[in-house]
Amino acid sequence: MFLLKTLKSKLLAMSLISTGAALVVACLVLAGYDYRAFRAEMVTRAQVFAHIVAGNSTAAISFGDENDAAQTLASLRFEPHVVAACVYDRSGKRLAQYFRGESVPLPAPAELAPGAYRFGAARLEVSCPIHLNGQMIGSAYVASDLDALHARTHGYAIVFGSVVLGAMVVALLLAARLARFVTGPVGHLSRTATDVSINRNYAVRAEKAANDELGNLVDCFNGMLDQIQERDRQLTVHRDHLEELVAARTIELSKARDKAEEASRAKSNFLANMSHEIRTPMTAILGYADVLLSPTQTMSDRINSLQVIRRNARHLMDLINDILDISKIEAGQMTVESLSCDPARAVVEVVSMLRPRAIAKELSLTVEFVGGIPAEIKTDPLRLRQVLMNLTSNAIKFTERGEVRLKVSAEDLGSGSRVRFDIMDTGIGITAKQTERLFQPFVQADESMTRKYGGTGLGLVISKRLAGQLGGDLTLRSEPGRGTTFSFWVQGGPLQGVLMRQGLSESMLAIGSHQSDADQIALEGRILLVEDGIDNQHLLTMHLETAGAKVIVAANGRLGIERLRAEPFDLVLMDMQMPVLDGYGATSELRRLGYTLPIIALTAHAMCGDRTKCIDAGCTDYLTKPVDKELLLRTVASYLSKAESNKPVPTALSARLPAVAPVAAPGGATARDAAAPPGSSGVAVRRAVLPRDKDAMAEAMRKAVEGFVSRLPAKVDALLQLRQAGDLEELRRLIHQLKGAGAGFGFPRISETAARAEAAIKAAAGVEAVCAGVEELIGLIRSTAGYDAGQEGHDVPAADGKPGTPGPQKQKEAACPTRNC
Amino acid sequence: MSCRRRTTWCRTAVTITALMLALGRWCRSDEPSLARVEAAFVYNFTQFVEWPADAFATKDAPFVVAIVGEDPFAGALDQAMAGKQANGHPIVVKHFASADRIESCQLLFVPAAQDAAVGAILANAANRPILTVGQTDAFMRGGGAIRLLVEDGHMRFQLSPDAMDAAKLKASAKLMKLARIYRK
Repeated sequence: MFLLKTLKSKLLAMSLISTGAALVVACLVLAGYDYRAFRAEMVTRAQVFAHIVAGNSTAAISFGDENDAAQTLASLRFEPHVVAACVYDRSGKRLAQYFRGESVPLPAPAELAPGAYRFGAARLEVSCPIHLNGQMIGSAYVASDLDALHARTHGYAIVFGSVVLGAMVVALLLAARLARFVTGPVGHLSRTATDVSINRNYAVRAEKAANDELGNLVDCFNGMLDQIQERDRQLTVHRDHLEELVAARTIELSKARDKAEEASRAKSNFLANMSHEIRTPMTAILGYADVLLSPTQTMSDRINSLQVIRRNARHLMDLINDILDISKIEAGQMTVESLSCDPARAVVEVVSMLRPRAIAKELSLTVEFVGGIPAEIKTDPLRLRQVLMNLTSNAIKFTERGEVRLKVSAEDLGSGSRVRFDIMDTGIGITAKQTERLFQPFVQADESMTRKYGGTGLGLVISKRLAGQLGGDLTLRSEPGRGTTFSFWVQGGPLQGVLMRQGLSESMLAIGSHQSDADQIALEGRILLVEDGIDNQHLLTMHLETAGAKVIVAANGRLGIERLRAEPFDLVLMDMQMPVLDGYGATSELRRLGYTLPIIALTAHAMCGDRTKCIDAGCTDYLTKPVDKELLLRTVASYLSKAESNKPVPTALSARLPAVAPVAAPGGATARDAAAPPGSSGVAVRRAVLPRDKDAMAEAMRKAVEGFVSRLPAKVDALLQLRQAGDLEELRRLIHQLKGAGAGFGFPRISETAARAEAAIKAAAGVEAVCAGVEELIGLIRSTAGYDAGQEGHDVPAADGKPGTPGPQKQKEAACPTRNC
Repeated sequence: MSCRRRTTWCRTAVTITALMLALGRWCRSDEPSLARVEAAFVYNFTQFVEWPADAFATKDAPFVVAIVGEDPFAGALDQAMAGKQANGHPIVVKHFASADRIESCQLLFVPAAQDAAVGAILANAANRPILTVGQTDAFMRGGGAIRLLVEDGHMRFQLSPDAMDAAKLKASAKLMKLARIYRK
């Protein structure tokens, strides 16, 4: 088997071995059978001879005739294989005998029973009894040689040998030929596999010869090669592209790193700018506040200081609002509303507010209306104003000489409308590269500009995002040194039934170029102020009455509703946080009762959710505390004018007039606007008939402040009582009022101390902290109440504005042992 | 081969001569022994000859062997026949003093001593299914069927087919082969 190295030799060996084995077995079986048959035939033949001899010897034996017996035996000479024979008589005596050649020893009759036979080494011996008339008279013996058997065996060996040999030769030839059907494809496959494994040539394929197992093997082999080749190719491709990939990824990564570094740097810069920006107005505020506290100041100096403080505080507020906006935008929480808005009026309002700045820089600020402008679109008026304000103030800020021009146009898109605003300046302009960075948060066109022009650098980012949220976009076109044009548009909703005003001009809508001054706003009408804080009552009443309105105060929501049932008002100012019935409850109830006139919410919370909450409760508009006087008067004025046009005769709630909300009746407003002669649209907000001088104002202010100061001792008593009683909620409310009123009446330290105390209560800080805050506040109030308003900060070191006065300290030390709050 | 055969023949001749001498001596010295051989021959004749069916009166009739005159076998024949059968019939040996006294029989032995009356005896038996066995030439000439004789020291017998035919007896071919055929 070790010699059979090839498949072919193995196949041949298999066929030879199987053929040979089969033939040998067949031949042996045949030979065995034939040998037995031949032996039986020999026996029969010998017995026949013996029988013949026996039959022919009866008389000879009977009569003892030896000659006759011998003659009978002699006839056996015609049978060549019979070598010996004899006849025995009854007594066993040998009567006659016959030998073919040499005599051989004959057995005694007793050795071989009559009728039996035996095979010896050289002879076959048979014996046959001789009967006569049923009696045995002797026996015949015949011995035959085995030459025939040997010859036959010999012949068999030769024949079978030849047959086996011949058959194997034939089988070998046939197998050699037939084995090709197997060895051919296998050899081909083997050579192919060798080629693949040695030369690593995966492109070759084995050829399929038939659809048998070998064909299947070839298919599988080729399939494997396909897979290997494909994998090889992918590997190659991958290897080739790996470097490219790495390079690309590296570039991406370095870009991302640069971006991240830049963002980080921008954020750091932003923080630095912010602290600078915040510190600058803060310094001014604190400084002027200290100046204000100085008793030697004249009233006009004080007013001057207050204006500086107000301006800086407002700037701070803008900053904080911007930061809030941007944080909302970054957090994806910026939401816009869809309300009715007069775009032309919004533009004019913004322009008139910014005009003083333009005039101060000797810039021309103009508005141009191109084509028809819808009297009303659906958008978020607050955000629209914010963007306009931002872009316009930016334009003014970055323009040294020349003009700032606003162009307003609108187009009807059928399903909706688009209002476009272009703000063009002749300022410094910006380069294309700067443009790219302009709309990223915390980035100004040039960081150095921040120093020069101020600003948070957030305005444009906010504006662009807002424009997107309003369904439009903000783009800019600029040439450095020549000027910049910001273009901004918003979706305005469908225009069906909306009046398109043609040939508008700023003057038609002008509120007055000096209207930005709150002192110029005059009000006419009855206003119900629902407010629990007595200081806020006084402050707001003062502002509103100074402007000409009639103000009635109700101390909580319940009282306010009763008041409204009793007499008619044009407008309600509703504080949202009150005892008994708060502003949300009162407003909801009023609306449920069918009250349709404007209710303006006042709330101390500046977060966005509050506005929605107020509007949901049924408020018409919303103001945040501390209340900006100008915004208050402007808002109230705008609603009074609407109320006047809608309902010339204000009626009490009990009159139950049909519910016609001003916001819900744009048709009427439009009709009125169309019918009204140009210039008369600002009916309610007319110019003050009598411009009051500063002294008059100062007098009013003085009165209010005196009132506030005179009520302070009562507050201290209340604070002490509440602290003693441990009524934290009431305590907090009182302190909250003090916080608002203090600021309003020009006592910032009371306000800020109150704020700290309130924060301590709110944060559920330790008893110590709350007591300390309350003690400090009481001390401060006591020290304040001991003097008139002008001397409030007299004994307080004003340089750092910290409440570390000896008075309060002593008071605190004295009060502490007794407290049990 | 021829040399060997010649040698064999020589040896046979010597043997035969020796046997003849021995037989001669035996014949003379041992008479009853000869009688026994003759008795065996007579019995063997009954075995190689076929009798017609009408030879027997009945199916179970005995096969009668008759001896005329003095018994030459000295009782040997009776001994040889005792309890034997021939042609399916039990053999009975009967002795008769003279030929005229012979009753019905199937085999009639005529001793040499009866040579004088052989004619009458055979005449009596003529045309009857009776096998006649004698010892003399006169017997054969008188029309006997089988004669016992000693030839070269061997017991032989002469057989007359005519006599057999006349007696309606059928001799076996084997008997014929051994017999010396007698013709008149």
